[in-house]
Amino acid sequence: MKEKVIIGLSGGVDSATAVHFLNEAGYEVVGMTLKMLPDKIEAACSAGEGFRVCCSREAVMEARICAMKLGIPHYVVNCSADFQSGIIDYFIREYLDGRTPNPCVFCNQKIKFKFMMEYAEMMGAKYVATGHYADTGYSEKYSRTLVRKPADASRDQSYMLCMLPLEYIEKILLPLGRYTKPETRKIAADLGLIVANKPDSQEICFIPDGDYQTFIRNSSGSAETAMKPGKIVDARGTVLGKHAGIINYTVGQRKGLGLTSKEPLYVVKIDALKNEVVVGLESEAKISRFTVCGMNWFAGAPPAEDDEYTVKIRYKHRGSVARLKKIGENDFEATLLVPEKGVTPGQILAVYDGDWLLGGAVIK
Amino acid sequence: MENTRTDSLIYLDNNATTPVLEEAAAALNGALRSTYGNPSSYHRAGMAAGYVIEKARASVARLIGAAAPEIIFTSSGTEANNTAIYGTIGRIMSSGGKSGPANIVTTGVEHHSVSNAVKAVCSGGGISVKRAAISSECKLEPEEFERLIDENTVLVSVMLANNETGAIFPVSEIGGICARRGVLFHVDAVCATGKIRYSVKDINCDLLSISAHKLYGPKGAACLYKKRGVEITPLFRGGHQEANLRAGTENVPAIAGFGAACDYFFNNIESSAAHYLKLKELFSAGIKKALPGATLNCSSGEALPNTVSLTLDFCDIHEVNAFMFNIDLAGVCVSLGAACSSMAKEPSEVLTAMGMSDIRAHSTVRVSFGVQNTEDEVLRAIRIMEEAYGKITRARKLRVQA
Repeated sequence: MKEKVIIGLSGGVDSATAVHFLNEAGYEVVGMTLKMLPDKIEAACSAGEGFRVCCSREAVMEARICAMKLGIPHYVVNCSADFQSGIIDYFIREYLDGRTPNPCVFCNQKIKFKFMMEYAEMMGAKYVATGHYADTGYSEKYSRTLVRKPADASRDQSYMLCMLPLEYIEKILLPLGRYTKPETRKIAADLGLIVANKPDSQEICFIPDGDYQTFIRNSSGSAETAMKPGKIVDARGTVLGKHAGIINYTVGQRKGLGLTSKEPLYVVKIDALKNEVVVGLESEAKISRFTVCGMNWFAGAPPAEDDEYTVKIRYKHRGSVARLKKIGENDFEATLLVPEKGVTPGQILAVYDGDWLLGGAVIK
Repeated sequence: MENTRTDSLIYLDNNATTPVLEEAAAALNGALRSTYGNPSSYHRAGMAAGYVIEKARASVARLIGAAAPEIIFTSSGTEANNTAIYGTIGRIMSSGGKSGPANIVTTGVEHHSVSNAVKAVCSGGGISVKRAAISSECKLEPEEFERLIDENTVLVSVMLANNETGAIFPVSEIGGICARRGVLFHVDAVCATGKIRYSVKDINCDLLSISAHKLYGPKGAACLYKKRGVEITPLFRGGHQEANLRAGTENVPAIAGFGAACDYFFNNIESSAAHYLKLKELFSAGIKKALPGATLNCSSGEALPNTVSLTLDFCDIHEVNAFMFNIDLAGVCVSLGAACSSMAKEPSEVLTAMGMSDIRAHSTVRVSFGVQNTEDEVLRAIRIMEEAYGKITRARKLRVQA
């Protein structure tokens, strides 16, 4: 009997084409679209460029058309309440606390893969698949299945999977791991899929226009301290200027501070309690040592103090070499061999050994 | 590749829609291919098409004990219901027949094409709505209408049978009350027609809606029965079709199929009903054994012979979804609530109006049998549902252990 796999269909070209590869590989493929956007946000999105929003009404329809075209059933599941409380509320809270969240990483952990795994369990499916550009494989060195970087390095989405629960790793299929985006689009076009030329989706699906400040203001009201103007200070506490509300700033940011100084100044810290943005020179903005919490480790024995890993400190980061020292149950001190700007609290540190994704943790 | 085949499915969702009868398909195809004329044309091509429509009109009228001129063809049951509600209210308001406050009396379990039309009519102000309560046993008391109707009531709208539960409502008694009180009475008979025999005379209604695709006719044809003498305004402005009450070129092929389906049920309704009832009893007895946690709703009162409303003991909406996906993957088609609200986030208003909790309403499956179903299909469906249910409960145990 064919092995059953549930694939998440966003209505985009990647997941639709992934269906084709699974069909070819001989699986019994079942498509599933999770409707995550709360109605109010979806309506606002659809009024603009709705078709570019994952899981909008249009996207669900496109997913359905592709599924039928590829001969698989397609079901729609609503998990917007969980998405609101688990992802959107977390996103807003993090900004109000002066941190810079990564909703996609946590959506994968708490919503997307979680729900599909639960459905897989209830529906007797052995695997859950997505159209992520990442690969899985068996690592001889670590004697286990791990996620690894895909063939298309420019599209590498393995970072987004670094907080998945360990038990998911053996159950995920990532059919696009061996293909480049242009190859995917070409195959989609050859298959006659209507989404072959559909534009790529945004990074934050619930804020399609990218204006997260307005989104947070509209969601939580302007009474929050984080919306209110405050002081921009340097490390010694000298007031250098005024800020427009801490939600507008990210650690490592240089532009848009409205300060005049001989040398460029960077945001080095956001102090939510004092409602202050702390700035400093490049030398102060570059740090090498920082703490990460809640280490999610796929690779068996925890990281050893002397081992060197490649780490990414944000999604599009090129990668740096770091050592990790255990300082608590799941907390580690990371030391970058070369200090860097933009070590941003709230963002995720993903840990690699070459192409293998070993784990992830939240930057404190 | 592309797969839209349905021949291997066990289709037990005949309240959502029905497969088209041979007789209806033949009539439809004939009209599609040969009587292509526009019924409004003076020439012989037009005449031929007009004749097809008039024959169908007579067939529909005969099935429900009406006269042919009392049938207005529409595109859908929704259009028929909207015409009934907007048409009567529009007429009353425009003729100045009513000054001061007005109200519509209906129930809390109507199809969206009635409840949302009533809501929209009332949103303009000046008209309010009163809804008769429904008991947890799906019963509607005619006396409640006696109480709710007052001197300002302009329309009463009640469905003949509820599409989600199959409960049959006492429309004849309500019709008697409306006649005595001089209030227009509309009956949504979309779900009931073809399953039980009735006559508009016995019901004593002024308006009644039917849709072809619920009785093994094609989609795209439906009608509003309008008793002679009752005045309504049309929904659309345009040509003179359907006695000036439904502008737009008639869907001749679909109407031809509608007529053929009505002929079939005029001759076969009792035997069809007996067939449904046999399947329903076989299913009800089997499913109670297979799924001990299941409850059969509205099983005590008068109900359609083909409809089973089954509440399962699921813990959350995702278990319900997974159950539905499992049985669908195994080839069994049924509904959660009504077809039009499937996979909705909100539970069925019909079931919650009957006092059901949200999760119980979410966990309610509607199984509706049709002329094409067999005992073997019913037995296979029970087995498939049992297996699907087992998968859910096993996964729940694993989740709890984790």
